[in-house]
Amino acid sequence: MMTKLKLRGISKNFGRGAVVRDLDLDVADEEFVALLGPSGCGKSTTLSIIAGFEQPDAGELQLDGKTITAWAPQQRNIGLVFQDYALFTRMTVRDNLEFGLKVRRIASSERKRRLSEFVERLGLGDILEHRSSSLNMSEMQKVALARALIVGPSVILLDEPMSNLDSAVRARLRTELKLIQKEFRQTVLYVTHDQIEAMTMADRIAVMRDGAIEQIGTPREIYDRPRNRFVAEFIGEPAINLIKGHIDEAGNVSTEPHGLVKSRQNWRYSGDLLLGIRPFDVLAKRTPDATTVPAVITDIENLGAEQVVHFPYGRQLICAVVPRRFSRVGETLHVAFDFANVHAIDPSNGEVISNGTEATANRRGVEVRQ
Amino acid sequence: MSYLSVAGLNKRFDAILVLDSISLDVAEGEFVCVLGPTNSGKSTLLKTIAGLHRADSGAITIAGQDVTGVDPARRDVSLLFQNIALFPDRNGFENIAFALRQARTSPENIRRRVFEVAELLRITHLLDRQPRTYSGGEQQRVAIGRAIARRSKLLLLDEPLSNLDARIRLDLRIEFRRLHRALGQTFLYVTHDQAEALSLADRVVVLNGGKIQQIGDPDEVYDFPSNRFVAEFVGAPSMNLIPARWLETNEGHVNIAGPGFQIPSPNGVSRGQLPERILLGIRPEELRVAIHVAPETPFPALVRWIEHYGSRAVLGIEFGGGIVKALVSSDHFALAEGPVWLGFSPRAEHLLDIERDIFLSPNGD
Repeated sequence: MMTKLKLRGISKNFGRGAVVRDLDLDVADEEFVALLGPSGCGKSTTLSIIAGFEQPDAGELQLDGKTITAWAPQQRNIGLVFQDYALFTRMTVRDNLEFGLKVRRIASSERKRRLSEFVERLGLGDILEHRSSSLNMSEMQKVALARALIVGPSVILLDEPMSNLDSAVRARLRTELKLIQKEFRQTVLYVTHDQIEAMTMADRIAVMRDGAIEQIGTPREIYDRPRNRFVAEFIGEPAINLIKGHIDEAGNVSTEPHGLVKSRQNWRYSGDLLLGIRPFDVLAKRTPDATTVPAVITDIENLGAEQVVHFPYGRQLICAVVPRRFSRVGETLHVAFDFANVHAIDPSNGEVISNGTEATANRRGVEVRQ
Repeated sequence: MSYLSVAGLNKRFDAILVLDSISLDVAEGEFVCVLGPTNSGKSTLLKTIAGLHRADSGAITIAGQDVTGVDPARRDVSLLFQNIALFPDRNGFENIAFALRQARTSPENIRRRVFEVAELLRITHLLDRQPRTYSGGEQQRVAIGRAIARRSKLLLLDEPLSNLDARIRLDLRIEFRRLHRALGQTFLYVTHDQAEALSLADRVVVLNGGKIQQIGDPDEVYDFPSNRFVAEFVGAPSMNLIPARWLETNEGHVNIAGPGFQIPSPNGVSRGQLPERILLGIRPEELRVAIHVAPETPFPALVRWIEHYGSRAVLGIEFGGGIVKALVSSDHFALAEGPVWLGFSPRAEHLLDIERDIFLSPNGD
């Protein structure tokens, strides 16, 4: 597929040090890419550079095959949606939508045609004559998006557009935004700190830390095959358990409570390691067997459809996801892991040694070769 | 016996009734979450209990004392807000010690308390640093420390996690539960986030339009919602509500029919109970999805989109002219856009009488 937006070697310093370091990124035509990372990772600065509000200290920016690094923001065919929407609050929804078209000197007949098309497809008819100051948050969000879409930009940049919204509204808008993006085949770059937004909407996720991209891939790849400890911990809710363990020369794994466990896996590694196990992959049973160790539940988080049980494992606190109404605080459950589900991490550098290929293959519904 | 008691509280801002006959009892040591959307009145309720707003009518009792007209400083409550307002020119120690100094606690007691609190919150290393050097999560930990240091019997928390990064929010969420157990204080915690309320609270108070919709423990509120608002607000993704009506079969049984389906009514539901128009409530995790037709999955449908959550996925499914959502494991074989077969067995307590906006009661009475 054609590359719509291309970043090569983009760097930016703000006095105290590099905010964006030598960043490469390709966004394909009609693709939805999320830039995901914690506060201060450089994701918003990257967006500002693409929009043209910041000049990079080094690197090149291409849009539709043209180098635009030195272009002024208004010369770039880019749409923007921010956290605070920046709608013209004294104008009606109609005026807000027409504004960008007028600035671009689109003929009045074409303006009318586009306006009625977008109003129809986005279902804005009822609020068209409302002042934008009278809209609720989710309507504002939709109008801001419509205003960006209507001028037909090459790419739309969204900077944490849902941060100020209630979680219920956020959940609804995630679905809507994704459907609109697909329907309009709009190329989107979406900045967020919320891994759920990235996972549920993006075709690909670029996970950022300290100004650099740690990993880029589809939601399944990022979740099933994290490249390092940072990505493994940042993606997934509840967060992945990181259990201290050891692999001997023969490939057998041991953890403090479980002792030695034979594993069929070829780790190509020996020594201390961290066993990254998603709470969904921890088996918590009512009855003990040869593979389990007892665990006393110290905390329970009710998720509605399921529950998270927390318990000490050796000297660590870990958790498991179990069916709803399964357990209660104080109960003893019996826990085990399937080592095929383990993301093995080298504790010295945080790199992932192995991503438990069998488990991830299972998760993707692929047949496992025996 | 209840530690905090709110009786018939009303509060009007201009023409708008923001608190509408709120009555609520919180037991000593209980963790209660007030859950509601923006403008439901939840923050106003908290501020009225704190004494920052005065109620138009009604009474507030704390530890057996009527405090309705009492000055905020004279109520034994601590407050923690969404906006972290640490003193920027004081270090962590002084921020946490603030309320203790105001209460004229002796220096050695202040020192002891601050260190106790700091250890509990794992922020000892922040005590001699200035707030500007803190990360967002660290700031909020210190703010929590300041709120709990005084050991007031009642801690009022107003969306304390809302302004934080998603990951930090998650890490701190479980912390509140542990903190509550360690301190034994009574917590009243306001949030718009149903996941926070379900995971933290002993009991949840669902508020909408200034009115209490339901009070119950998390499982009760999830399993037996009192009305449509609670059913849709609690649970993510929301409960599916499918329009339906009743049908009498030739054999004299009562069936429930909707666009594209007809199923027997749940056990214990009699014809007399069923109103003309109902909504059939199906939790997304209770929807059966298969790629082949089977007695358990007899109705054709179409997966329109998939939302990945990692180990779980949500399917957006076109069915009966609308969209229903199914929560499935991410190794589910129907994890692709295209035709599928659906099945569901509604529970009696998830049949909503649209006219009266109530669910049928589980026991059939």
